[in-house]
Amino acid sequence: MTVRTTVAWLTLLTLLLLLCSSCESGGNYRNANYRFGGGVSFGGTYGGYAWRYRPGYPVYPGRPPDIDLPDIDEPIAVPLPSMGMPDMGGGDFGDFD
Amino acid sequence: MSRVVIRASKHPIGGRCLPVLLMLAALFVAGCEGTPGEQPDLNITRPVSPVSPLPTETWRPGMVVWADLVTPDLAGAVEFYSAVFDWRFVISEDQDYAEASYLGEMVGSFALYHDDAEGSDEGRWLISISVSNVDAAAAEVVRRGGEIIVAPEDLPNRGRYTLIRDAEGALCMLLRAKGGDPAEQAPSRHNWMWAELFSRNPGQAAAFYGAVVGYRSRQVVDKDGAKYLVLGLGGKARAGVVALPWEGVDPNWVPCLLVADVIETLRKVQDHGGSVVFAAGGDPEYALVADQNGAVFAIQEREME
Repeated sequence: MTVRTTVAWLTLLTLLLLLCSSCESGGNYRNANYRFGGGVSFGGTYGGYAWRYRPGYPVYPGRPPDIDLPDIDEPIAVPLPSMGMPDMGGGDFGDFD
Repeated sequence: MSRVVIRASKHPIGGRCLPVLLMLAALFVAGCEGTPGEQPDLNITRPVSPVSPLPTETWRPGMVVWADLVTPDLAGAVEFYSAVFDWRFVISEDQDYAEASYLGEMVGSFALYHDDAEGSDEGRWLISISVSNVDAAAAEVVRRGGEIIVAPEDLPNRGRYTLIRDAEGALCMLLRAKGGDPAEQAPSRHNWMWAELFSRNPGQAAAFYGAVVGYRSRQVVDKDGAKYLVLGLGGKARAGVVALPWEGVDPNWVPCLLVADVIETLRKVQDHGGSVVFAAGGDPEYALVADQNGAVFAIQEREME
């Protein structure tokens, strides 16, 4: 390796190091105050079965074969409620004032 | 802003490698600008961000202004959401807090949390609802049969907040954001578009949040004739209330992400350790999924204006 090549490499490495240092900005505040519980228990499960699928809506009657869904134990004779943001067909949700 | 770890090359450095090195430098600079899907950096210290990148000094009570994921496996969660939604992260030095963004827009934050008391290893999404006065809202929570989990306190940059459990047990945060709430804008892909409360008694739940947040409730009929209970305030619809159809599932707030393709997203969720909790049949436009640690959220595809 010639002296010229070595100098070129050192210059490039210096450039890279400068780039590294410029991308590490962001202040030095650490989220020590960011806490949710403070020893208070609030996590845990969503219930007896958490959100694990329980019996038994006729979910996915035409689902793609590679989507793995839990087995359905038995159907429930309860109509499925609407879920998700309603599509008002271009209309709005009405007055909430 | 991320730092890329460049591994030492086994090959001798020579003049012929210069183009490669320059390419590496160019890639590195591109990485600093935030390319979706890039491997997360685990060595950055960064402040907790405000809910709005620029101060708006405008507050919109009732707006769902933030979402936090509390998880016992923060690194796993970062990997999951990076892979499924192309979210990018900055992670605290202690690797106990991270903030997610998609194409430069903040999505929410992740906090490492171990609930040793309950021995649970499930994650959980928590939404933050804007309120005019956190302390007054917290007092109303108690009056209405709810519970204060974290008493009102100030979080630097974020604002004054309280973590509550409503009268049915659903958890959420009430926040008076420092600098104001985010501006109104149409939901964007891979970001939050809606939030739903799954409730045993939607009417009572609407009354609870009406008293605490000030929500007005309205039953709407969508274009397919389906009825749906909407909570709104200030002229805007902000969230929905769904009658919980499952036994053994407690009431919960569930944030909903806008996706381009539900089926494709379900595949990605499963490919990366998540699970499908519920999806309607046929060609679903909505599904409930859980991440690799069981934190439940919804996905929905929709043409947004």
